[in-house]
Amino acid sequence: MDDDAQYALAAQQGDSKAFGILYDRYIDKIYRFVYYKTFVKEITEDITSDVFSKAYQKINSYNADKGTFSAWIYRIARNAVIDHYRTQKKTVPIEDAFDLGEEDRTAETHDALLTLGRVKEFMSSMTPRQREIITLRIWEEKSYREIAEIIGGSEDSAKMAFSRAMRDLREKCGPLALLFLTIFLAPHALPFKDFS
Amino acid sequence: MDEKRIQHAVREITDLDPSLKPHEAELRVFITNMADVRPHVPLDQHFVTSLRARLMLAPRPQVSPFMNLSAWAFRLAPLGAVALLLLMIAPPYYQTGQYEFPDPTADPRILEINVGSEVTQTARDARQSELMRYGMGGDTMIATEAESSMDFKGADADTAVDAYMGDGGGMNPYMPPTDDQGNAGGETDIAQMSVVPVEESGAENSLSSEPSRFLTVSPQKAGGIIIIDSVTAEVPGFIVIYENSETTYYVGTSGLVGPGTIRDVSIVLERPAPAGAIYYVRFYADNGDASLHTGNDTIERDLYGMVRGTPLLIE
Repeated sequence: MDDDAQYALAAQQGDSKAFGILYDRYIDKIYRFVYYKTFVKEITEDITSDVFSKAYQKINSYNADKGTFSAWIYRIARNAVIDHYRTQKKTVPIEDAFDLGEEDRTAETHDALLTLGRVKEFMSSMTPRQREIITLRIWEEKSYREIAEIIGGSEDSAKMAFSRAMRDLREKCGPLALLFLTIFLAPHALPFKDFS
Repeated sequence: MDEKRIQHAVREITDLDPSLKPHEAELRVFITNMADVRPHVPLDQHFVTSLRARLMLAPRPQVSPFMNLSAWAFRLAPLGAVALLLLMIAPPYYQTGQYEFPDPTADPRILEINVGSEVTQTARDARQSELMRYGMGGDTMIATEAESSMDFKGADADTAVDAYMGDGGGMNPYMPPTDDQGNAGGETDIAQMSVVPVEESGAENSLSSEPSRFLTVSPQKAGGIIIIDSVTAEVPGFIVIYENSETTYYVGTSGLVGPGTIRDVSIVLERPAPAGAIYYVRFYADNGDASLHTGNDTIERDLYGMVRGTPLLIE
């Protein structure tokens, strides 16, 4: 039984301090995970609060024999994001909960918004699953094992999905697109980082 | 994403899909640029601490005693129960040829303790005695008060309870005791009322999950003053603010309050309370000297002798 599972077991026994330790370990990760799907601070805070409230209230439903605590709480987070978009954007397919939040970036510079638009253009050419895997791999630097735990499936299937996404991106956009990406994105990388 | 990780990611992709090997340079560029345009995550530390505090104050999820039993344990549990029963029955049966259950009307353990100078206590069962060992005799705030099972010489159980709540039996430390003729006598020493001193019972610092029954508190703004919504106590006492769940160091106290209900009690803290903190509010019954001394005054406890405290969220 790993460390997280032991704390989860203690929390199931009524030890709220143990849950506090798990909270400290995962608040940053879950917040990032949700933020990369919503790109709006207030919505991210609402969803993150909802995730940890549910995790605390339903801690007894976690079973260490069936998976890691990390996978369990990430599943709660994914479902919370989907529920949010289900209530907010009923006309959008549920799996397409992808929004770089351009409408909330009116204060950004023109170049930054243009860069954001370009990234969205490339990302929108992928399937939701490919987009999620790329985000988890590149932005959140998750291992394939962790990706598999979060989105379901095996580690090998996560690797295959990532490599396929790279191939599809190259095939759809062509080799020059990647070159354009280099020329266009590189000078704008720094301003793009300050979204808050 | 550092260079080493990018190289590793590219190598993994080309190992999985050799057709991408000729395009390794492009892949490296794409992954590098994707990593470079990763948005900054605006994680607010105030949000983190506030959420944590709210979660810790939330009611704990109910613990099922069966949650951690495996499926096999569930299936085997009835068999185990039957086996245990057979083990209990078999030896007496083989000894006597028939089994006799223990006599449930056998005399319980009787314990006589002198409480004060005029009262004797008779414990009717082991449970009552155990409560007394913790210095708690019933659902009252003073650790040494009597239960309804207490026998007073020449009095019934109702009188025994009234004696602690009023001035008839002389056990209220704030009223002078009276003799059989109703004449006032000397003060009763609270310390003599304990069967086992609380310090010896080991319960003196055990913390209860139950809040105070006398205090009503609301979340407070960060700062140097705490306002207690109300305190309702039957005896005078003090409200004490602790900066954590332990009872080692307090950061603010009220003046003498009660008996009765008092609202909006302001307490100045030694240092400002930071946002996101959880303080604990406790009530001490005054020992009669109108001065707070946590070693002499009686802290509010639950039925098991554990210290009650109400968590207070600082927003």
